[in-house]
Amino acid sequence: MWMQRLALWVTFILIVSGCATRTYNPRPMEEVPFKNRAQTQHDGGVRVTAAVLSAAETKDVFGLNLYKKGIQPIWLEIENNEKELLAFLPFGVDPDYFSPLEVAYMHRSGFSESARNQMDQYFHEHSMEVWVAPGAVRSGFVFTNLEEGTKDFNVDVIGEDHKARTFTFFIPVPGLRVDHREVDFYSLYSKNEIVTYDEKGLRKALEGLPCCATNKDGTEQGDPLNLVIIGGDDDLYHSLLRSGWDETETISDRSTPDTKKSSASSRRYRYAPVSALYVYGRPQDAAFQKARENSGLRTIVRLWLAPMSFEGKSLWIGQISREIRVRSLPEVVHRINPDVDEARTHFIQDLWYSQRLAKFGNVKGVGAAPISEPRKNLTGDPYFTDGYRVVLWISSKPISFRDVGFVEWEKVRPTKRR
Amino acid sequence: MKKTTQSSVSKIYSLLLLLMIPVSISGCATTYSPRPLEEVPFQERSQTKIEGGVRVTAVVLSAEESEEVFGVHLYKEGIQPIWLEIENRVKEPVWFLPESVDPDYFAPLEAAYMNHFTYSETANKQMDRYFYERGMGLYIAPESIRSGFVFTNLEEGTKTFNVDLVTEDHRARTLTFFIPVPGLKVDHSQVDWENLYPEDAIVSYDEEGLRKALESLPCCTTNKDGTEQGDPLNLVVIGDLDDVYYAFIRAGWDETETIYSTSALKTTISFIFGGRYRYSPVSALYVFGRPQDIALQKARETIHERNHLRLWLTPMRFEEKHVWIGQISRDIGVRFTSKTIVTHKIDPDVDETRSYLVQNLAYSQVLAKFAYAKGVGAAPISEPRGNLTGDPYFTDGYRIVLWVTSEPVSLEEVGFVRWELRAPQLR
Repeated sequence: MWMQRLALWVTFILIVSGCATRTYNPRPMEEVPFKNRAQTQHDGGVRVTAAVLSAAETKDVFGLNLYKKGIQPIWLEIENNEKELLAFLPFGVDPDYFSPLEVAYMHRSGFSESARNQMDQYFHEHSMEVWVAPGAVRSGFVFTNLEEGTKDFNVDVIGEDHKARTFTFFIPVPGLRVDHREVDFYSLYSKNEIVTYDEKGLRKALEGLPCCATNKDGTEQGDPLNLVIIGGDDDLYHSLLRSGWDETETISDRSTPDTKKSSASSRRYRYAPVSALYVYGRPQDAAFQKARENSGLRTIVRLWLAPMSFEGKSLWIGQISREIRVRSLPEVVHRINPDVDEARTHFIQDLWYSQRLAKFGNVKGVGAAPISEPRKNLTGDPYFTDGYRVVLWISSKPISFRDVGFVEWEKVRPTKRR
Repeated sequence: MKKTTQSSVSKIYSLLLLLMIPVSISGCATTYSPRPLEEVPFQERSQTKIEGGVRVTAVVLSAEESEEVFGVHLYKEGIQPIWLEIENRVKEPVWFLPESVDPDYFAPLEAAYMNHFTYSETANKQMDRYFYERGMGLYIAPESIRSGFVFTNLEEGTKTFNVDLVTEDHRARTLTFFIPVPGLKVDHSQVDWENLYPEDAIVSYDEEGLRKALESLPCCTTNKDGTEQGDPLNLVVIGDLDDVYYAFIRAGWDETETIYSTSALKTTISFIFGGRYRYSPVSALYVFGRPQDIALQKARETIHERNHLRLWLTPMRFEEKHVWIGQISRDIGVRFTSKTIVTHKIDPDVDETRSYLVQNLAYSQVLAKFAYAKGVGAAPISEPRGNLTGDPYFTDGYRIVLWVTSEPVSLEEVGFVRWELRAPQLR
C-alpha cells in the first residue's frame, strides 16, 4: 500500500515539475444516452427524475474515470410545480457526498493549467443546485460514494412550508452480475405448487421446514435455516438495500479471481460471491451481505423463495451467519461465528432500525444445540443455537420504531450466559 | 504493482511463520490471562441515567482498561468495549438493542476472534468463552439487573451513544450518553473559558441588535499579527458550550488534539502514508487576537479529505446563550506552496461547504433554526479572494447563523429566520 502511495507522490512531483499537457475533453451530455435508464417519481407538484451513471457513462460525460476513485455521479432533474421555493438536500442522497470542485481537484494530475480551470468550471456548472424556484426545472449531478449492484438513495426536497418530501429510488447500475437478477422467480414454481396458509397453518408449516441447508446432493446438513421473511414482490430487495445490505455477485469466471483479490480491493469485496448452500435441491436464490472494511468480517444472508403464500405475500426461507475471514495460507478460509442466534438478533434490529420491519415472531424448527454440545455445518464449523427461527414481516413503506408488532408464538428469553 | 507487493508480503509472512515454529515448539505457549473485573477500577467513571423505571449505568473503557479486562489489545483492532448495567425495576421484561449503541457493533465472538493468538488453541477457547460470557445480554427479566459489554467501533475524545430499551408493550426508552474517553489531549479542554472575557465585556443583544452585531464582526480570520486576512468567518453558532459540543459530536464531528510531539508524529505518518488520523491537530487561525478555541473535523478516507471548522467564543450573548463565530472549509487535497511547502487545498466553493453543515446538523436533529447574515462580503467566482495560504475562494458573502440544541428537532421542524433571503442563482 505505502509503495503505491510513494509511487503516486513521485508521479505527482514529476507532473508538477512541468509535464502537464493533457487537455480536458468531456463528451457533450446529449451524446451520452444515460437518461434512457432514468426513473421518475411524483409527489404533489414535485417531479424528480434520477439516473445513476455507469462506469462507462461516467467516463464519457466527465472525461474522467470517476469510478476508480470511488465516485458515482447521480443525475437528477427536479421540476417544481408548487407555489413556493423548494430546497433539494444532497446530504439526504449521500451524507458523505463529494463536492463538485473536490471531484475535479482529485482528478487534476496530468492536465494543463487551462484544462484544470475548464474542469473546475465544468464540474461546478453541472452540479445540482440546492434551490428550485416555483415553476422551474433544475437538473445536475450529485457526486456520491460508489455502490454497485442496485443503488438505493433518497431525494429529500423541503419546501418553505417546512414539508419534507422524500423520494426513494432503487436503480440498477450496469456492470455487476447480481445473483438474484439471474433467477427467473416466476418459473420456479407452478401455480398449483404454491400453498396458501392461514396463521395457524403457517406456524405449523414453518416448523415443518428442514432444519438446515444441505450440500448439493442433500446428503449432509449445513448451516441452520434460522429465518423466514414474508413480504411482497419488491419488499425483500428494497428493505434489505435500505437497511444497508449489499447484493452478491454471481459466481462466474470473472468473479472468482476477484474474491481472491478481495484484500486488495475492499470495494469489490462488498459484493464478493458467497458459497452455495442447498434447499429445495437448489442453491440460494439471493444472497445479501454486509462487509466490514479491513477486518475480514462480514455477515451473510442466503434466501430461497418457498412454495408458500400468506395473506397474498411471498415467503422466503433463509439462513444468516456472521463470517470471519481467516488467513490460513495459501488459501483464504471463512469460518462462521458459532453464536448464530446473535446474527439472527442483529438482523431483526437491522430491519427494525431501518424502519422496514412490520412485525416478527419466533417458531421452532431448527432444533436446539447448546454451547456445550454444538452442531457442525458443512465446513466443520461448530455452532450453537436455541433452536428457533425468526419470522419477519417486512415492508417497503417505513414503519416507525414503536409500531413494530410481535406475534405471540414462541417466547425467546435468553437469560444466563454462565 | 499490486501483485508484486502482495506476493512479497506473503513471502515475508511465510518466512516469519517459519521463524516462529521453533519458538513455539521450544515451549512458550501463550496463555490467556485477563485480570478479574473487580481489580480494574473502571466503574469509578461510570455515568447513570434513569428513565421509566429502568436504570442504565455505562462506562467506556480506555485503551489500558480494555487491555487489562480482556487481556488483549482491543483498541489496536479498533474495538472499544462499553460496559453497561441495566436494572429493570418494572414488572415486565425489558429488551436491550445493542444496535442503538453502534449499528456496526462487533459480536463478542467476533471481537475475540480478531484477537486470537497464533498458536494456542486452548488460550483461544478460553478467550472465546470469556468474551461470550461477558457480552451484554439482550433480555432483562422483570425486577432484575444484568450487566456486560458491548463491543463498539473505536472513538476517541468523547464517545456518544444511545441505549434503546423496549418493553413488550412497545414502549421505547432512549437514554443518550456522552462520555469522555481518557487518552486524547483535546484542544478545547485547554481553554480557560471562565477567564476569556471579563464580566463587563459581555454584551446581551435582542434579535435586531444581534443581526447588526453579527454583520459588523470581521469578515475573515487573520494571521497571528492580524496583518493578513485568511479564510472567511462564514459561520455563527448560538448555544452554550454543552449544546455546541453535543450538537457537533452527534452530527459526527471529531474533536481535535492539541499540537504536541505524539500528535505531530501521528499527523506526519498519516500525511505521508494517507492514514485516517481522525483527531489530527489543525493549524491556528486568529480572531480576537487568539487562535481558535475549538476545532472540529470530519475525516473521510484520507487525511487530505476532511471538513474542518474552527470556533471562537465571542463576548456576545443572545437570549442568555453564548454566541460563537467560526469558519468552515473542506480540504480537498494537498498542494505545494512557497510558504509552508505543503498545505491542504480547500474547496474554493466555501458556500457549498457551509450548506453541507446546515444539512448535516438538520439531519442529525440538532438544529433548531438558522438564518443568513451579511458580514463576509461577496467574492464572485470570477474574482475570488485568497486565504492565508493563497488558496482562492468565492462566496455570496453571507454567514450562516445556527441555533443548536441538545433536544432532538426533526427535519420538518427546523426554523428559518428571515433576515437575508438567498435568491436561487443560476450557474
